[in-house]
Amino acid sequence: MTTDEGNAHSAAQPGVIDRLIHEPARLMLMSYLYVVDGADFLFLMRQTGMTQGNLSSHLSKLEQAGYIDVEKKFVGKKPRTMIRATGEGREAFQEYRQRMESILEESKGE
Amino acid sequence: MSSQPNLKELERRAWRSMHDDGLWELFLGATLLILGVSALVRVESWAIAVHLILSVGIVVSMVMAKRLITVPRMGVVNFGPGRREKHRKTTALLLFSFGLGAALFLAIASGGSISTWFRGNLGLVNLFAGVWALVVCGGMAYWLDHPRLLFAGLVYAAVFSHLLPVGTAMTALVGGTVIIIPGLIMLIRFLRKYPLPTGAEVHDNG
Repeated sequence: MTTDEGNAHSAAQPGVIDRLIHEPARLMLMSYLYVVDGADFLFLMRQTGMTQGNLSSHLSKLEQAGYIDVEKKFVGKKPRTMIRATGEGREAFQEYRQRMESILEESKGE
Repeated sequence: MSSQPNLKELERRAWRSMHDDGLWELFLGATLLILGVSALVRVESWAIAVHLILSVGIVVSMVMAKRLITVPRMGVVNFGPGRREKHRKTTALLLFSFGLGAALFLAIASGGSISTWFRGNLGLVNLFAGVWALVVCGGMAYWLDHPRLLFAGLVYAAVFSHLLPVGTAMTALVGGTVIIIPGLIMLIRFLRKYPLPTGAEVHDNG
C-alpha cells in the first residue's frame, strides 16, 4: 500500500492529518475546488500551473478517495472534463484545515 | 506553496484571471466610440439606425469573444452563489441603464413637453448622465470585482457631462479610444500569456 493510499483511510481517524490532501499540489487543487462549484481540466491546469500528466495523476488519486467527482462529457464535438469536490471531499478539506490550524496554534504556544 | 492558502484570495484570483482579457474595457470603449460615430451622422434617423446596429453588433461581439477567446484559453469554471448573484445584479443594472437611456432618448425624440424640458435643461441632463455613468461603472467595478472599470466610469462621466470643450462626437471618440487602448494592451498580454492549448491538452484530459 502506498503512502497516499493509506492516507485516504487515515483521514477518517480523528486528530490525524489527511496526507492525501496535505500534498502541496493536491492541497492547491482541493482549495480551488472548494471555493468554486466546479471547474474543467483546463481551468485547473491554468490556475495551478501543473502539467497535464501531473494534474491527471493527482485528480485520479483524489477521485479514488471519493473527494472529487469527475464528469466527462461532450459540448458539441469537444470533450469537456468537469471536476467538482464531493460532499465527502469538502468535509475532508474542512477537517484538514481545522486540524492544521489547531496544530499551528499549538506550535505558537510552545 | 503555502500549506494554508487564503481561500477568499484564491477565489478572487481565479475570478479575476477570467476577466484579465480586457474585453470589458473593449466593450465599454467601443460603446462610447459608437456614440461618437452616430453623432457624426447628420440625418437623425440614420444616426439612430447606425447606433442601434453597431450597439447590437458590439454586444454580440462581446459574447462571442468570451466564448471564442477566453473560454478556450482559460477553461470553464462555475463560481459559487455569491458571484452568480453579483453577476445577476450587474446584468440588471446594465439592462436598466440601457432601458433608461432608450426611454429618455425616445422621450426627447418624440417632441412634446418632456422634450422641451430636456432641451431647456441640457446642463442638468448632462450632469445627471455623467453621475449615472459613474454609478453604473462603479456598480460594475464593485460587483464584478474589477476596479479598472472605475477608470472607464470616470471617462464616461467626463464625456457625458461635456467637461471637455470639444463637440460631443469628438469627446466620445477620444473617450472611447482612451478606454480601448488599455483594453487592447490587456487582450494582447492575455493572448500571449495563455496560448490556445494543444489538442492533446484538451482532448486527453483526466
